[in-house]
Amino acid sequence: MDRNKRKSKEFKKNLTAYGFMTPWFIGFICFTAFPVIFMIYVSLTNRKLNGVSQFVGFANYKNILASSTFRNSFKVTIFFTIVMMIVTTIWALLMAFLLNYKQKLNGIFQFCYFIPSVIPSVALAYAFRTIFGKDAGLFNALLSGITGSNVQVNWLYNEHTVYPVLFFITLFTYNTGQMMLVFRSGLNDVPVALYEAADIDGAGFWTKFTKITLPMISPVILFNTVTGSISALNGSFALLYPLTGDTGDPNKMTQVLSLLIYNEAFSNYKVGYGCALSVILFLLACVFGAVLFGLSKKYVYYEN
Amino acid sequence: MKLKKIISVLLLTAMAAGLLAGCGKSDGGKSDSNKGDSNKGGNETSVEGAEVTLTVWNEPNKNDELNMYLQAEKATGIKVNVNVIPESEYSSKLNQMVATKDDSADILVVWENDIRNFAEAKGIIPLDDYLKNSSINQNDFIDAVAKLTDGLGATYGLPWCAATEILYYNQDMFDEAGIPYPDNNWAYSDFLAAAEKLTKYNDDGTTAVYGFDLPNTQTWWAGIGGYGDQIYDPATGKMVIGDGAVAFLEDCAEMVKKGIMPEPSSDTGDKFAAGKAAMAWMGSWNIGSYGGNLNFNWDVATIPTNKVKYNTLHTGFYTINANSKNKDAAWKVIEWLMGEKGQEINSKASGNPSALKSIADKGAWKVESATTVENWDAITDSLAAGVFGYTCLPAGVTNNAKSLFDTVLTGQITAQEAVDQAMQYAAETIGYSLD
Repeated sequence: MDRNKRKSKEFKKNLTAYGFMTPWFIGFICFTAFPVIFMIYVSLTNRKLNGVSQFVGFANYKNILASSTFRNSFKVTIFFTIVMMIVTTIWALLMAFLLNYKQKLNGIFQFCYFIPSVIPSVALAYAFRTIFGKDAGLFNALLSGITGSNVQVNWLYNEHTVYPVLFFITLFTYNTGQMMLVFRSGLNDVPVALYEAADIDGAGFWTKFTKITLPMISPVILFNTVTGSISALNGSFALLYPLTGDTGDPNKMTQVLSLLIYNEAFSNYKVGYGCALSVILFLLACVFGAVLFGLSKKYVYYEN
Repeated sequence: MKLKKIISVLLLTAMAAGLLAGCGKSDGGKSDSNKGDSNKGGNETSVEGAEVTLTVWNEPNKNDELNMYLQAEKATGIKVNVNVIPESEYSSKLNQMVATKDDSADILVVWENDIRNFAEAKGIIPLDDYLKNSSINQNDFIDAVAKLTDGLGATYGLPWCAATEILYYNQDMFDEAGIPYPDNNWAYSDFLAAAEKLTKYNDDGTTAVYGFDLPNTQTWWAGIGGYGDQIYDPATGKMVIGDGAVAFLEDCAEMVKKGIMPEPSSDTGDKFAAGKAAMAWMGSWNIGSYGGNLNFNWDVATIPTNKVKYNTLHTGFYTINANSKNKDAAWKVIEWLMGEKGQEINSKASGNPSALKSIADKGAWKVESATTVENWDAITDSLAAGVFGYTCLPAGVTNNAKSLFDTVLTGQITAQEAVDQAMQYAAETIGYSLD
């Protein structure tokens, strides 16, 4: 009897917690779980954008694996994600490190650096498209002014310049700005006593950075690389679509999977095929996450 | 504790209410607009005072006299709401509307590559019953229209116009170079020679004025078709390009190499309008937008004739949404738009001829503001030579091919590689074997 009473009391007590959790659960089921399950189901059909649909089993997956367009896009996605993750993480860490030096106008520097990060990616991309235009591009005009010759580099259409330009642009995205703020707070949490002790031992800048700073902020690095890589996998669409188009110009060098998914679903109207590609992208994000967490066991230092 | 419970109950109630409200059936605020709806396929019911919504990709003309929807409203007494969807998303939005059985639009202006799919998906209705009692003479349509909708088993849409692709040229530059103006029998070889002669270079060897502007998304296909490639096979739905595409791409790559034609870039603009290119191949609808706005004398001619005289026709079809609650009113509006007055206003506003031969012959498409244009025969000749080609292929297939063509011009792949890859992608996408 007592036991039942206790259970009932405990349930009532927990009911409040469940009540607070319910809105989130409903949101999760409606807006995350259901779309994911539905996407997996649609990937097994030949659904067109106009709604016509038939169950085709794994035919979409077979076609995907046989497609040279997919193979190219898969390689581009992995390359783009890894390089973007490395470039943005290093840049954000560097900026956070510089901003952590106590100097005048630090707040203004941080504000100036963070401002581009809060501009929507699409607007940012269009601005850079103007800057890196061939005929009327601001950057070419600047180079022409400096060199005194008519510089007409086709930055976004040239196979040698497109990647450097794109990775440069990623430095100004929201993701990089957010990483910088997270790194700043991580750097502030490193105990000063460790640096003081290292100073006494005669350690130089590099030694302090590699032996104290990096290990101490390694959980933050892990967090940033995981969120950065998933953001690169899923969010690169908003940046690349306005810059290099849905066909991933030049010569499909920038056709990441998210662009291919858009192209298949909304230009070719093959929603079933697009969903199958989305499932692959989802699995790829899982693999990236798993690899990074796997590496973290070896390289990340947790104080407790 | 009690407060927490109350808050959690309130949150739950709000969520449940929100969900129920979201799941509720909405009449889309159109309950008053169903007057005269009968869906009988006849037009004997009074539809005066009804309200219809039409989706289209371009803004209605700002001049009230040339705003055909406003004039249709005045003539029929039916309120016409125009829902403009940007061209880049137009087709995909309409596909989504069909998939979700959306009833927010009554008249859908459907593109060539969609009409068959929409009819098969039962997203639009046959118009035959309406046409029986109508003054619209279907035998009067240009032949290409009849061919395009062959095999559907019924008439699902009526073409709102028949736009063509033509050559635009800067007369001042031709005069300066001492080259006679092109006519409608101009040979492709003459065009290539003129483009070279019209190009002006800066002292450092870069180009100041190009002889020919880069073909746009549409006119790449005019050059390829001119070399004899079929481009689109209506019998199989396949993309058919080969030697013609390779030859035209090689010509273009050569022109880019010599600075006669600009290479593709992220800031490619309309160099013809800017006075930076002596010639360009573009759609006939540009006549309406250029009007008297260019700072030089210009005229038009047909696309130069290569192995064959070729250009792609463009149109949109007035169709009635199968889920519309105002089908009769929608038909009344379509009937007026397809009538003499509606077609005349459309032609005057856009510069595109009517797809109805008897109306097109009256020449309302000769845009009055384009005062320097004299060779109006270019439009009728293009119309006669025009076919519905690449526009019947999925946009992703043609965009992919165009991207590959651009890559040839930047020297990354050969013309043959681009054509092979474009064919491979088309086969993968449309679903056929290249063997």
